[in-house]
Amino acid sequence: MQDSAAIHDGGSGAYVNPLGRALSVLSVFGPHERWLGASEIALKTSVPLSTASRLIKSLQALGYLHYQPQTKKYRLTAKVLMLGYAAIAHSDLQTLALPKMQELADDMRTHVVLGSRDRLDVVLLECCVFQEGALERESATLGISVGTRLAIADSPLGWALLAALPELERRYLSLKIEHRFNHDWPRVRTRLTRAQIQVQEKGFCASLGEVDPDLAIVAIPLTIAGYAPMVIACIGQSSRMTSSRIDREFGPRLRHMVRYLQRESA
Amino acid sequence: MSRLADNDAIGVGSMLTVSRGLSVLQAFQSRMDPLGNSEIVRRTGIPKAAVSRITSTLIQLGYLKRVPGSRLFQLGIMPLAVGQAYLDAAKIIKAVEPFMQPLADELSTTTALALPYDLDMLYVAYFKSPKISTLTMGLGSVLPMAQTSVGYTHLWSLTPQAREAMFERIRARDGIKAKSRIKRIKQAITSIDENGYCMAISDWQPDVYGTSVPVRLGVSRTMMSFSCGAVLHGVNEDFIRKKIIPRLKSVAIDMQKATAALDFEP
Repeated sequence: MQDSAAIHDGGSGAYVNPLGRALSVLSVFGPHERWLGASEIALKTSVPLSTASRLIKSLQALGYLHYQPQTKKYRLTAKVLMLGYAAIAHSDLQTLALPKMQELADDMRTHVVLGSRDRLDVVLLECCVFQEGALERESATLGISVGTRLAIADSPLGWALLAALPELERRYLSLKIEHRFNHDWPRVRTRLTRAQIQVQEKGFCASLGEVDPDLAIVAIPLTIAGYAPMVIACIGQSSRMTSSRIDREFGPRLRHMVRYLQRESA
Repeated sequence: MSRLADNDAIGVGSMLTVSRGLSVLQAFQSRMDPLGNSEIVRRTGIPKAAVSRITSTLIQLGYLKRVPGSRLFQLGIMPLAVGQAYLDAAKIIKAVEPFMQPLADELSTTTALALPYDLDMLYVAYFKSPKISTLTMGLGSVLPMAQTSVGYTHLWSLTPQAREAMFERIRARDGIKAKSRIKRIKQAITSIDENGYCMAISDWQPDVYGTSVPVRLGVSRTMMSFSCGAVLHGVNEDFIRKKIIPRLKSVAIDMQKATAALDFEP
């Protein structure tokens, strides 16, 4: 194949050949293939040697490969971490959580979301809608999706997250929230305290119709050593999520999921 | 320009294509935040038509994934695989761990080693005290050079001409914010000249401090930024100067000695 065929449209979208080949060059290195020569790389990627050599030179010039003249071999450099390692490395937990979240969403016919803190917001990292999708219209209205930000002080997700932080950090963040909310702080503080007590007693906190009259939210903090504090929540119609169902079904299911994730990621 | 580049059979074109493709991945800055094509265009300066061909390719190869129900993309699983291959083979982390983990534990902070790539800094080693839970950084995290202590330390290590060239790039990218950032950088450089360390207090993430010293590691005497950081509660500049800096400096010397005979090129 030649570079003149660099772009071809294959139904599923454009494909840029030199880029695909360059990435396949980077992906042939492994713990047992720390150093590789150009012909080994060509062989492993099934790319003609002349093309492979050119790509290798490009990757070396761009700083992704390091060349050792004595052995005429190449290895990866730290720059390959710039391609996005950290985002995924810190989300293996999401991979673990996702099937469990979907299962819960389908069983309980609610949204199940996973969020993490960014400054004074909770950012949703995963969002599962139950399969029959009856909530889809509502979810559009709610505007809930991956990347959605919810103010810590105004969402049960934030309350649960705060409740699980070490004392000093919680107090510190509370100060920041107080500063932001100013005259509304007494109301917010009362709500935060109530949620904290709920989390201490039951492991989760719930909000029925506070944010929206038709909406119930049950949130549980997820703390795992080595990870930023997270929160998992069920969001659904308040008609289906009565307080007795929350105590009897939603709460225990969420507690069970958190214990599972803590055990599996240990 | 981009058509010509993508179709160029000589090789210069494929190098440009590869370079652009990899810079699209870098635009995500190793974070899970979803980006759309237009934001990628803004961050990379690559023409829109080329960006959509690149994102399409990256999706087909597993480096990006679509956020369901939107036109946004997130980093996929493949950057993890390539990054892990580097880390499995890298000697750097194993060699510094016996110094950096105990220091993190002793000071109740994070400790990190950072390297420069373009206008960013990359954590190539990162350890944290069990008492730290709210910082969401990790190994492989990417930080802005112009706003962090590790970035200031790198800029300090440059020749005046190279530094001025970086300032030009910061001015071109950061617009109106560049002036105050460059002023902060110059203060930090003076601080390293006079006292051997610099600090960044809330310069990037609010309420987080970082303090950094230069180290030269391995046979190659590779310059890296060595830093301590934590959330700012109960800590002031005086505390950092008296309790953190002396330990950071002394461990920096220990690490230089201990790695003096190792191949430490990242």
